Amino acid sequence: MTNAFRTMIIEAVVAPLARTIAAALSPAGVGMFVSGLVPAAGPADAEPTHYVSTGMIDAQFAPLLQDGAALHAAAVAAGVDCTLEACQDLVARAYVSELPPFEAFADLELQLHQPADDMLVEA
Amino acid sequence: MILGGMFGASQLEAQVRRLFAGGVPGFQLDLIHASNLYQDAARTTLVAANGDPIGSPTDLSGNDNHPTQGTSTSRPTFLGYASHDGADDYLVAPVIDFSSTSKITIVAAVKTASAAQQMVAELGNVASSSNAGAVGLQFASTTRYRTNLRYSGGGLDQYDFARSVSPSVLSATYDFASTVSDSKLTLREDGVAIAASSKSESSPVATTGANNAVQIGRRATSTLYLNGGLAGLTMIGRELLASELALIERYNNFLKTGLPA
Repeated sequence: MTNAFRTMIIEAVVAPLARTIAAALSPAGVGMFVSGLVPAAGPADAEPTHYVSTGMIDAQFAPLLQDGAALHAAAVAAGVDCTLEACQDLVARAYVSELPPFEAFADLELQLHQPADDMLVEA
Repeated sequence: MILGGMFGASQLEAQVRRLFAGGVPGFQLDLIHASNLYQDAARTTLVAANGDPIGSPTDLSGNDNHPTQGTSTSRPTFLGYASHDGADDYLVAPVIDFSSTSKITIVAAVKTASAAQQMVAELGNVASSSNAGAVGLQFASTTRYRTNLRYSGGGLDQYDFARSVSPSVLSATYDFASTVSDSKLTLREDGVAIAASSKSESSPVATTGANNAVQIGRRATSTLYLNGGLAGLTMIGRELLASELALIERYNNFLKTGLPA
């Protein structure tokens, strides 16, 4: 297996489908896209508008988030019930790069989500 | 300051392992030697070179509480230590039953350059008022550490401590049985006790440690990802003599040498 580094950021609206497909394609895809992102200009505890997964993935999966038809074919082959249009929509709402995560966040003017309940006490 | 060099690494490792004798709950991680690290969560392929993912470090305590990370993108990267990207990297130690004790200690050889709040380790979910026995150790800012513990009934103790050096060996102790402020939560940085700079306390309610998984490098709520390096992590569920705590600190001080300056 050859690995490839990718930073993959998706809009929150397509996160459920992205998680389902990632989990179906590989056990190593279970748990992807759970780190929330919010606009950098706003509060960190806002509702996430995007989700990110960043790190090493099996190289054979690297092109899938950039090709709706290929993603659909792979998803259906893995047993996911989804339409071509839904996969094309996911790809259109995805940002995939080889940049380190925080450079990618800056490109998209995003920051990591931080719920308010994590700010329990301030000195 | 921590005295080092008296014992070899393997001897220190064995001495720390003995502290877990008799079924003491916890784990002991050396994240600087590739021979202790597997690339995959199934623990089939050893880490061989810098840049390899860390899917499962070996628990050296004898408890076989090997942490894992099944999600490929969320595995820390081996760079002579476990490098966490601050975005989605973390490990999870399996559910460990700390309910037989009211005393827990976490010792970490860790470094971060990030100003963001970020977790070193968390037993259970401290943010949940229903998770009695949960404890956490985190960086609260560039100048503060934070520790917290959750009592039965939902009460929370949370202390902040001034932060100075990096990388550091941090030793956090949690005593659910104590009713004395400043002894319920303590923190040492490189073997030196630090006075809390701010405290939020509730009345202690008899509580033992939680019977939960341990998040390493993030909060259980999928937030506060560690952005930095972790070279060693020991978590142990019993009262420690001062000399025993110093021993664990010496061990982690050796591991700290794997972190960049």
